[in-house]
Amino acid sequence: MALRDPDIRLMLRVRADDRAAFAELVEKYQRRLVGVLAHLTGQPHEAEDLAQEVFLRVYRSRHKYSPRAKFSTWLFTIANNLALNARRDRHKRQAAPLGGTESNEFTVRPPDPTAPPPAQRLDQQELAAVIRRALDDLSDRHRMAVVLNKFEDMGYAEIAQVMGVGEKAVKSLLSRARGKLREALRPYIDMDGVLPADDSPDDE
Amino acid sequence: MTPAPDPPDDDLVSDEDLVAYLDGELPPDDERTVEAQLAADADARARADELKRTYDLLDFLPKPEPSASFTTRTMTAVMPLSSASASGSQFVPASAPARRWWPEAVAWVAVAVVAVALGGFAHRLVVPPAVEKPPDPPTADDFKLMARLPLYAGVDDLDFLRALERADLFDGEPAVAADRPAPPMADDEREALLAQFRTFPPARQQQLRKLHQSLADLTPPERDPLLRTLEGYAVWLGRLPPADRRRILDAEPNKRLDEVQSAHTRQWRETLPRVKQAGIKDAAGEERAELIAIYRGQELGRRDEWELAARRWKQFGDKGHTPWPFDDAERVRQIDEYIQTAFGVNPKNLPPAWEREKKNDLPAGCRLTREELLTLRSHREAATQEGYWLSYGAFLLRMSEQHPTLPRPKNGKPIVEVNQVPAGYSVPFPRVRPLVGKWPDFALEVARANPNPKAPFGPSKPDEFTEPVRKFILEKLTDADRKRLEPLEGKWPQYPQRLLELARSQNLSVPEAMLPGEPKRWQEMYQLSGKK
Repeated sequence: MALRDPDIRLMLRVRADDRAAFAELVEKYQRRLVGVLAHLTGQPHEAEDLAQEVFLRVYRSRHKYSPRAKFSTWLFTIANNLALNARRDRHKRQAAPLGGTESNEFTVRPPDPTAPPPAQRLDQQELAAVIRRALDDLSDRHRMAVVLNKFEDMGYAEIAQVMGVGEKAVKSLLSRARGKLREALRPYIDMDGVLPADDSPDDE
Repeated sequence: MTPAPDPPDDDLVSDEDLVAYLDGELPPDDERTVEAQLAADADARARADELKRTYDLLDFLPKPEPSASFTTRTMTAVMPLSSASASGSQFVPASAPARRWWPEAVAWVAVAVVAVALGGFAHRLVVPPAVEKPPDPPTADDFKLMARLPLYAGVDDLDFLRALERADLFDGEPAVAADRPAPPMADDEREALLAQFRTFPPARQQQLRKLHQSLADLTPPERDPLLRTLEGYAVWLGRLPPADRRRILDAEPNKRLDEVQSAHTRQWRETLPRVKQAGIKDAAGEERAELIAIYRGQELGRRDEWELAARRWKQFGDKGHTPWPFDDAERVRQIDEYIQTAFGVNPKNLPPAWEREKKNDLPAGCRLTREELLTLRSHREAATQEGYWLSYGAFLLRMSEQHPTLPRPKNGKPIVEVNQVPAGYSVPFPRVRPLVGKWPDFALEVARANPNPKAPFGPSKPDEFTEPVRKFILEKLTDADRKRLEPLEGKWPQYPQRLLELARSQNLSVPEAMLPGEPKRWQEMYQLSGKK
């Protein structure tokens, strides 16, 4: 499979110090990487720096690269590790805030998803904040599995490779993560006019 | 899957299977089972529906787009390139205005300087803009700067040089001694460089001074790798095909390294297979290691191109890119002929890469060692195909010194075998055995064992030499020199040895026995300081 993956060929050129190839790789993956990292960290502005760091690591380890898996798998493995570190660092910082001020990540405190559903319709931004919160409340591993599955359309086998676990573990991670999301978001799935059109009957 | 002794509608589908089913990740058998359960179980359908719809909610999350400058910023972070502004040390985004003057400036500056440095095409290029005011008299620092100027041609500033060094393209081998002083420069050379320098835009002059000063300010351990990079880069730049060089010099400062890298990679890809890969591929084990060592040694040799190239600074008037004596087709033919007669190999038909079983199978009469033969082969290929003439010349000069030869007899039958030695002479067998087939080594060994033979073992009168040599003796030598030779007639090897000495003292080359072209010019151009 290795040589059928055009990105592996690209990466082999990067390994041979072909800067144009590297630029191509950056062009090609920046969107996906920034997107995934934003979902993983919950920090859109941080995502771009992290994505840059991912590319830096790819470049620095180019000479050690050997095509064992799909290139994207390797890339997202690096992204995964960096995102985990970033969250960990942030939690450390938050545990001991220097100025005692509240985190400025959100200008508006998002609604608590466990609170009773609002009577009137939420606007899109508020809904996004709720969903964000639900995703943030997942454990790191659950969130990772969900983000890769949902936003990268990765199959279980590839998620397993990125996360360094077995496929069975991925299946169970995803099922528990989605169970939790269902609990957190159940009140919102019927918000009128907010959801994508879906006329299946629901008793809720 | 859960074993299903009961009817499907009583069987609870696990969330795990439901999610995997929604994700299309169930094996076909399990998938059919779940479908059957969903068909029969409204509760399971509702659960599946909830799972799906909550997952769909994630689509409401905003997906940030990378900013427009993401690629540029990332490339810059990966391989920092500085601005060309005089302050020099800050990274700038692609749109910084500070370097607007720079691309054309560097284009002509660098091309001109590289032309000067590497033997010239300056006169074919740009006419420098007029100098507006009379220049200040040059300072001592200016003189020092001039000595390095050709090396700075394609360099913006210290940051660029550092990035270049980090890119690890030119400083892999510590072959260039950084503490080696720049070759001495004649006054007129320096004046010419200075005159060019003064035509540069003031900002570029300032930048070069600053670069020179920053290098001088570094500690030797910091500086040396940078100087090696600088030297390797300058030589490489000078050898590049003009279009590639132009692309690098014309590039915007923040794209220059990209261009360097891509030209480097292209070159590496193109040359490695042709010159080296076949040999390395065919070899195995010890032999492969040996080949790689040879090629590596050769690379080291190429680093000496810097020294050789520097020597060509003075050749402002040089017409073409190819250095003397390879710039003349007839002389190139004579050099091939010399290789044939002096080293006993046909340069146009050098043996292919070595195969294991042929390890000791040198061409009959070949005086070169295996390693030398291989090196000759790749030097010659690199020269004729890629323009590496300088190291080819240096190699030929070295070989001519290591394997001096004597003119052959006109009958075409030099004594190179035991049965050619006239009866009655002793043949020191163990010593001549490895010399069989080799002229003049075999005959010299026999002559050593038999002083004062009745008949000489090689040509030792004008008429006994081939026509070109005979003519050389009769027409090129001075009468005085011819007189000096006469007493040695009939004595071999004394007669031809004296002939070569006399020719050398007159800066003449004896046909077939010496490298074609003036011996002193060979020395000037191709003798490396580190050797002999």
